[in-house]
Amino acid sequence: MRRFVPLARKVNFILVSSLALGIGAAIVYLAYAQNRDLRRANAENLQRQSEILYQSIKNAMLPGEAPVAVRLFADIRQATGTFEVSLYRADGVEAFSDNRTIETVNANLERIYFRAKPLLMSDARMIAADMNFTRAVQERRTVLYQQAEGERSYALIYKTLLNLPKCAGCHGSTHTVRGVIHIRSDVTREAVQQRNNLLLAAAIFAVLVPLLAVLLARFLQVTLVRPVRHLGEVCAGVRGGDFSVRARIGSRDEIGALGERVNEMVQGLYERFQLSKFVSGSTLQSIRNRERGAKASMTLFFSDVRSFTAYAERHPPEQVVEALNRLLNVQTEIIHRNGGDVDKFVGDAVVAVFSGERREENACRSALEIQEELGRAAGYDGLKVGIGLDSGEVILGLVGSEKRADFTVIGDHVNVAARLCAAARPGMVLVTESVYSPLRARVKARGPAHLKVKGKTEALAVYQILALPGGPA
Amino acid sequence: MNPRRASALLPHVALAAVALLALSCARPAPRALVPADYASWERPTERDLDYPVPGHEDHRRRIYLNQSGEDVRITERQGRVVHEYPEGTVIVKEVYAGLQFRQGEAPFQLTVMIKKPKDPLARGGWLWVVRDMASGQETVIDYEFCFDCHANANEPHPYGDKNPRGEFRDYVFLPYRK
Ligand code: HEC
Repeated sequence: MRRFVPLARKVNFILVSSLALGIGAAIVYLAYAQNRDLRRANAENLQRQSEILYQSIKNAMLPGEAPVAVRLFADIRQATGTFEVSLYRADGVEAFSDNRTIETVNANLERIYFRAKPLLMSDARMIAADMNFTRAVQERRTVLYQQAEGERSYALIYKTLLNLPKCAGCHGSTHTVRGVIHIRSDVTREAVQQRNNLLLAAAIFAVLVPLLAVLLARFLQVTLVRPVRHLGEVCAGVRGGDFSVRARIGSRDEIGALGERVNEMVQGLYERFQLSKFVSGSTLQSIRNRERGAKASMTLFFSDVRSFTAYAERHPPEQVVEALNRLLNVQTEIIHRNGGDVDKFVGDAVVAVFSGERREENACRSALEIQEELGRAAGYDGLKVGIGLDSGEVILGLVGSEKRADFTVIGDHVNVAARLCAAARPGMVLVTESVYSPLRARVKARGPAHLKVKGKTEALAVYQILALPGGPA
Repeated sequence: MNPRRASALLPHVALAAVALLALSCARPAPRALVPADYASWERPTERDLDYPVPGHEDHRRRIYLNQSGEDVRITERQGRVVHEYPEGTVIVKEVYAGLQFRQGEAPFQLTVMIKKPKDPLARGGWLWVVRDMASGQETVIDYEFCFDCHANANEPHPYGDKNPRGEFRDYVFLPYRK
């Protein structure tokens, strides 16, 4: 069997995972995009700065004013503090650190054009071993990279300086790359900001997801989980026989509609349950079994209230209904107690059937008890019934249309019992020969009298039952 | 489809999607930008260039210009002479190993300018292409290198007629003249 997983847990799982995924993806993307833009802006800045330097170096070099360039670099370093510029020859030696270039230029021009200068730098650097530098020289293209030194982060660029045609006059034509501009920009602040962006994103995620999850879970709990559980409780109540339970769901949505539907269903069940108190067990049985018709030997019981129409006219409707219900109730109770089934009520009349071996006896006993009860007890407004009984073979079956069918008894004997009932005076029990003869030895009766019945040529022998000594079977 | 089988299929589908994505992002197959018959074209200068120049260094060079390039438009704009090569112009420069001419020698490299102003890789309206003859591989140089130097063709320089009046030569050092 599959394990029971509470709805709340499933919903929470879906919620938390989709929130985590959705918000996570959004935040990760945002943080990523922000950092990427920051990096991109940094790189673009550096490119632009190197471009500007390139242009100024190109023009400073032309008149051979190397010292101007050297001073420019030093000034930039000093002014910005975060920005370091240097220039290397293609062989990796820092430019202006010696007079070699001047010597080459003079040789190319075949005269002393530039005078050798006192050394401009004391701490000439070599960077030939730097891979990025080598790439810039060999591939003749700008190389951008990042570097961390301890706590600080740097963005760096190598920009190749070409031996342009206008340079070739002095510098010769045998090489393409003259040197490399190197810029190192301190981007520690930006790096910290990048890290902070990530931390902030993580913090937002850590706070937002649980918060939203709790809020949403709460919402679903109230709108979905709790009503469903409540409906379950209602169903359990009904199953336990409590028809007074009702779903109380205020919401005007599908769940609310379901609640109303359930309430209607419980009401319907309740009504049917009430009905089953009156309707015969065999009726219910056959409704269940869907019997389609059968013949059976039965004793038919027919009672009906004397002068009920006159009574109904004289009394207020509530009182009429109440009195009638009391009458039907007591008859039903006595019939059931004696093993009979109420087949139906027709206005103030009761049709009942008795089957089994002692059907005549049980029917007679029921009839006598009913008359005794109505004769003795107050509370029936003096209403009395007449009762007729007949025994014989009847047809049992579901009769009616497809929408509405009742299980009932059909046959001549039903009519005979009804005829006897009609003939009985208040408080009287009339039976036919077929009921009387099995009980002849024990029953106290008067008769036979002869009764003309519609559709029959011969008059019927009718007995009035007075008493049936001996306890119930 | 049974959902379990579908979920088993999912990783494969994802993998395939990633692979497709990777493929589509990968570099496109090398394209043949340089026509094979360039040797039959006009030559802007009959001379073999046997002096070293920066950018092409100490290699002997020979330049060819295709038919479209012969229709170069030379106009004057705001007092400056302006050369404009029509779209489709191809200038091929053969680069030979040594400076000395040797019988039957083939170039080891072509450096090529292709006028294609709308190409996103173009700089100054030209595609700058290097073709390695041994492998046949063509590389488009979309960064500063070629373009930066060739910008000097538009001001006085030491080559050819030296462009003494600083005409706009459309980045070509040795312009074609009918
Ligand atoms: C440092 C300068 C420099 C660089 C860099 C450079 N060239 Fe040149 N290029 C020249 C010079 C100078 C000429 C003139 C012809 C000669 O003497 O070879 C020239 C000529 C050419 C020509 C013949 C058309 C003309 O301008 O006369 C082509 C085509 C050419 N270069 C392509 C390229 C390509 C492609 C690149 C990049 C891979 C490149 N060049 C890089 C300097 C350079």
